This record gives sequence, structure tokens and C-alpha cells, in this order.
Amino acid sequence: MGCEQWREVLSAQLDGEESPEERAGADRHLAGCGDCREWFDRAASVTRRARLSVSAPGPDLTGVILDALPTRARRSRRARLLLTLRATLGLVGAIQVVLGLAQVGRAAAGPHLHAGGPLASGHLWHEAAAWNVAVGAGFLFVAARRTPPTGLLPMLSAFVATLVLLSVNDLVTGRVDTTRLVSHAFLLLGYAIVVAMSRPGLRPGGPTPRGVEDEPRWRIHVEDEVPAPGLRLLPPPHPGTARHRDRTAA
Amino acid sequence: MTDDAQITAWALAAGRGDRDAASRFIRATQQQVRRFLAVLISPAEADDLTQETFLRAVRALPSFAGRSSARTWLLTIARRTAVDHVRAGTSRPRTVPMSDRYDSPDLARDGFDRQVVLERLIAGLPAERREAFVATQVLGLSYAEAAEVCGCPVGTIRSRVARAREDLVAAVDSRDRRAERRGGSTAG
Repeated sequence: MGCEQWREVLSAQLDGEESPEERAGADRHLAGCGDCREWFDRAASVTRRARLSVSAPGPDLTGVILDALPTRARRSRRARLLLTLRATLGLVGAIQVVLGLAQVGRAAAGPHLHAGGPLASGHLWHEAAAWNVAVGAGFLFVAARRTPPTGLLPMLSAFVATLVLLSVNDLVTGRVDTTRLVSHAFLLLGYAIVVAMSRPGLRPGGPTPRGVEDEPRWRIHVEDEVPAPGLRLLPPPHPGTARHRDRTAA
Repeated sequence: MTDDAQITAWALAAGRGDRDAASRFIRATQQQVRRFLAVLISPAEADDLTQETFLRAVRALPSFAGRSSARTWLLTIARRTAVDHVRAGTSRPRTVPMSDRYDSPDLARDGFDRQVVLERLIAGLPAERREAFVATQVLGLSYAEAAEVCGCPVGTIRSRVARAREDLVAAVDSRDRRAERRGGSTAG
């Protein structure tokens, strides 16, 4: 082992991190190597001074940091709200799916009186049931996933708007019974939640409501900023120091 | 100084929402964090970065499980904050302000100024060595804790600390020699 490696052991020894064998080996080496003895003394004195260095305590930041804490409370409130919304949406989705399946079952069981007319009794009824199941599945998906429900939004909006207009029309002309309309309430509730969840403030996994304040975005432009020299023709001012390397690395 | 177990206990309590524990935790650790950041980045930016470190830490407190000591955990966050700060380009390239008073011959004789010089020399170390040296010597972490903070093996910390010591010894040596030479010529 060369002096270089022994100095690493000696350095560890100054920190009490050497193993007993290393210590014995280092002692033997020190007994025979004057340079390392001298280095060890100097390293010990530098270490002592470095440990002794006392920097003036800075200002107490406790108050400032704790004042910034309400953001955390708001954040957790937001998380709770989001969780509630997702749970409700999951429930609504499940109900919607069940309603749709029940609709299929009822159609199979016998004739129904939903819209009257020959067209409604057959395939159209099934198609409506399929839509209900699909919407329920969509709700469940949004509730389970943590991604923003943006894709579902235009389809749902068109569906709900059309359905509301037609329902009003049917209600006026008396072509629909109220119990059927009540089942649309679940759809409306689910739609409202999806809209709420696609707002940026509540978007799951989206940006925080305050944007990207976590990092400072400013930068000081200094006119006389010296460009780093590309070539160094002179040797670094301090032999063996880290300065030179630090500069070129920076 | 408050011991690690107490600080960790405060951190865990703060994670459960205890505001009082949070303020004790911050009060007990902020000077160390500031000191670490002052060396990693610069003393001028240490206050801002300390604040940012604690904001991140407080946000992450609920997920702090106490597997390592809270101090190590916090210094890891401080280091990451420093790294992000450099990466975001908000920090000017590090230059070491050594030139102006550095050459004056009286410095080497005055204990306080010697200290200042040593701090400048530490500031002049390459980033990795500086980080390892300050974590182990100034903040008093063990090699294992420092390895955790820096995210590298213990052996790496050990060799970085040794290299830092070699750099410092060499730098102090050359300084002293030059000061002697200069002192001799002005006296004569």
C-alpha cells in the first residue's frame, strides 16, 4: 500500500471510523514514514480547526415556516375533498351500472311502458341500457384512476344536455313517468362530480392550485459576469487545491 | 445540542399534525441545515434555501417513517434542495472569493482570520469532497449517516473525506509558505 492509501486510513482514524487492523497497519506505517507523520499532524490540526469553526447563528425561521403551513392544511383538505368526490363517484357509477343491468333484465322479463310505441320495446330499450352501463363504467373508471377525467367530459356533457332537453320535452308531453326521471339524478350527480374533478384545482395528480411556486423562477442577470476561461495557460495558483477543478466544473 | 432521538420523536409527532412539535423540530435543526447549505451553495443564499428545505420537509413529514434519524432525513432533503437549486440555474456558477484579502501577510498570524481562511479553503473544495467533509466534520455525522445523506456508499464518503483533508493540508501548507516568504521580505 502506498502513502496515498495509508492517508485514507489515517483520515478515517481521525474520525474514529477505522478498523483495528487498519489502525495497527497505519501505526506501523507511521513509524517508518516521516512524510505521513507530518501529514497526519497537519491533517489533525486542520480537522480540529474545521470542527471548531463557529458560524454566527442565522435568524430563527420557525415562525416563517410555520406561517407557510396553512398551505399544508389546505392541501390535506383538498385531498380529503377529492377522496370524498371519488368515493361518491364510484358509488354513483356502481348504481348506474346496476340500473343499466336491471333495465336489461326487465326488458327480458316482459313488456315495459317506458316510451310506448313499437320502436321502444325492442332494441332501443337495450341500447339505452347499454348506455347506462357505459356511463356507469366511465364513472367507475374516473373514480378508480388518478388521472384527470378530461376525455370523458365532452361526451358526458353532450349526453347530459341532450337527455335533459329530451326529458323536459317528454315531461311536458307526459310521455315519461317520474320514477324514470329520478334515476337520471344519479347521472346528473356523477356528471357534476366529473366536472368538479376536471377543474385544475381538484385535478388528481395535476398541478397544485398555486402553480409552480415551489421553485424560485427568477434569476439575476449580472452584466459583468466573467465567462469561464476555456483554456488555462497558467498553472493553477494553489498546487493541489481543489479550486481549479471546481471552477472548470462550475 | 438536542439529541437525535428527541429530534426524531418531534419529527414523528409533527408528522401526525402536532404543530408544537413541528416548531421544536424546526428550531432544533435549522442552524445545522443553514450551515450545510451555506457550504453547499453560499452563505448569502443559505437563508432562502433553508426555508425551502423546511417547507419541503414539513410537507413530507407525514410520510416520514423514522427509519433513519430525522436529522439525516432532513439533511438529505437539504442536499436535494441544493442540487435542485443548482440545476434550476438560479445560482450563479460558484466562484470562491479568495483574491482580495487572501494575499495580505498578516492573515496567517491572526487566529480569527486563520479561521476565515480555512473556511474559504473549504469553500474551494470540489463539491463532492466539500459535501462529505462538512457533513462529517462540521455537522458531526458518522460516515454511514453522511453516506445516506449524500446517497453514496460509505467507502466513497471515506475516500472523499480523505481527499478533502489532503487538499486542505496542501492548501494550508502552500499558504503558510507564501505568507512566510512575504512576511520575511517585508520585514527585511
